Amino acid sequence: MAGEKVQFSNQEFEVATVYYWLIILIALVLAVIVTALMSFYTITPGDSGVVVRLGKVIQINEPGIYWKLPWGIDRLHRIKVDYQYNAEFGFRSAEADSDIVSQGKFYRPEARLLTGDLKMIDLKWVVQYRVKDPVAYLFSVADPEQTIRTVGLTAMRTAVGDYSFHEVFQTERRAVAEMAKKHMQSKFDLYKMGIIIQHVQLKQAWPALSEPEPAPIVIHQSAMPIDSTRIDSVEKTW
Amino acid sequence: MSFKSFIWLLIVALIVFVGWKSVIILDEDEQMLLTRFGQLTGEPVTTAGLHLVTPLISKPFIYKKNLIEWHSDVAEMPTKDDKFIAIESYAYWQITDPQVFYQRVRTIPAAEKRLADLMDGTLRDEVARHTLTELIRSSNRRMDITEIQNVLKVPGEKTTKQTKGQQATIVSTIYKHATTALDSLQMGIKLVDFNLKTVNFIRVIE
Repeated sequence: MAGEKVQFSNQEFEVATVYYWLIILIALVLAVIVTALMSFYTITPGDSGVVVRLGKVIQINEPGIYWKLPWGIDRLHRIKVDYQYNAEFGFRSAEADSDIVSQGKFYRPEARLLTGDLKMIDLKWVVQYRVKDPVAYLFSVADPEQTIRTVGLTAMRTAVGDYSFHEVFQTERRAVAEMAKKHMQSKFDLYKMGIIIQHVQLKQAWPALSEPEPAPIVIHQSAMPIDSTRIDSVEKTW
Repeated sequence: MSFKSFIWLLIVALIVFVGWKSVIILDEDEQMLLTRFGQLTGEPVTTAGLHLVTPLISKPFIYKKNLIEWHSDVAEMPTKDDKFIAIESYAYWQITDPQVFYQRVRTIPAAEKRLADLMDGTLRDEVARHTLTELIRSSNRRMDITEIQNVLKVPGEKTTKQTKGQQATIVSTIYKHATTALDSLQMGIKLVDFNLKTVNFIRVIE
């Protein structure tokens, strides 16, 4: 058996060429198998997979198991098409962003709105939407989530601005939500974003009776022991 | 390593480098211009996928072709009835003619700077011509109004009030003015939408 001589330390060994090639072959096969396995992916029910090959959308996957080209040639975007997205405006629930506002408090930069009879109101609302067209959602605007926030805020400002304080606070809450919904949907259609607004729900509304705003009391909150009663009392007297 | 194998390595590296430089991957939301020594060559490429270019000589410029969001700073301005308000507006715009855009504007921040100047001026013009109520309301619907002394205890006096609302007209006038101005400036961009994001009284600092 022909072999190659390999010098190791002061001794010379003879390595059979067959083994030499066998090792390389096994390594290659292993690499291929690992890559192939890593290229399988599953789309779970409710999701939609948009496969982009070298920048171009080539297919949209329904739930199931699929295989794509490795090494970044095929890229996969998972979009939840059946999922009910929930965007919060005027507040943040604790788990979403504990830094800004804790549960039950208004997030003022969004919540503070001007009503039709020129009164200030603080308002919380939620927008529930669904992605209808994953490709449109991915590529129509640079940052879809940012767009939803911008348009959502604008829609509610428009709606609240057309109703009096009394109506937003008490009698016409449904109509305000409906108007905001219509406004949002027309904008998303204009931008061709592939989003359907399912529901807009007004939550807590509270009169913002005085200007200027009270001094922000959350500044040193992290340094203080949390005293929820104290924060609540400030909220109520205001 | 011998001199010969070093040369071979160099050649392979060069081939890889040139190969790398001669393909460009365009995403679905991108478009590309090719320039040769600062001169535009050929038509803009707008289809997504793999594109071959002359390596090292052709220099590609890749622009977005989808909607780009622009935000104004908070601008403080008076209305016709002497109320000072703070307005934050937004616009969606798009590069429609990349060749013109390349020649006149070149970068997105530069375009946004010009857009900001244009929108700010147009917005101030229109807001100063209308009362705050006209700006806030979008219909002439009669509103139910309760004058509130204390929300929680004393029931207020109920009245109705009709005021003119012109928000839609104001916004569309601003949009039209800005579109006309952009057309005459010929920047290769199109304004898709404009609206007021927030309208608030100015916070009084004491």
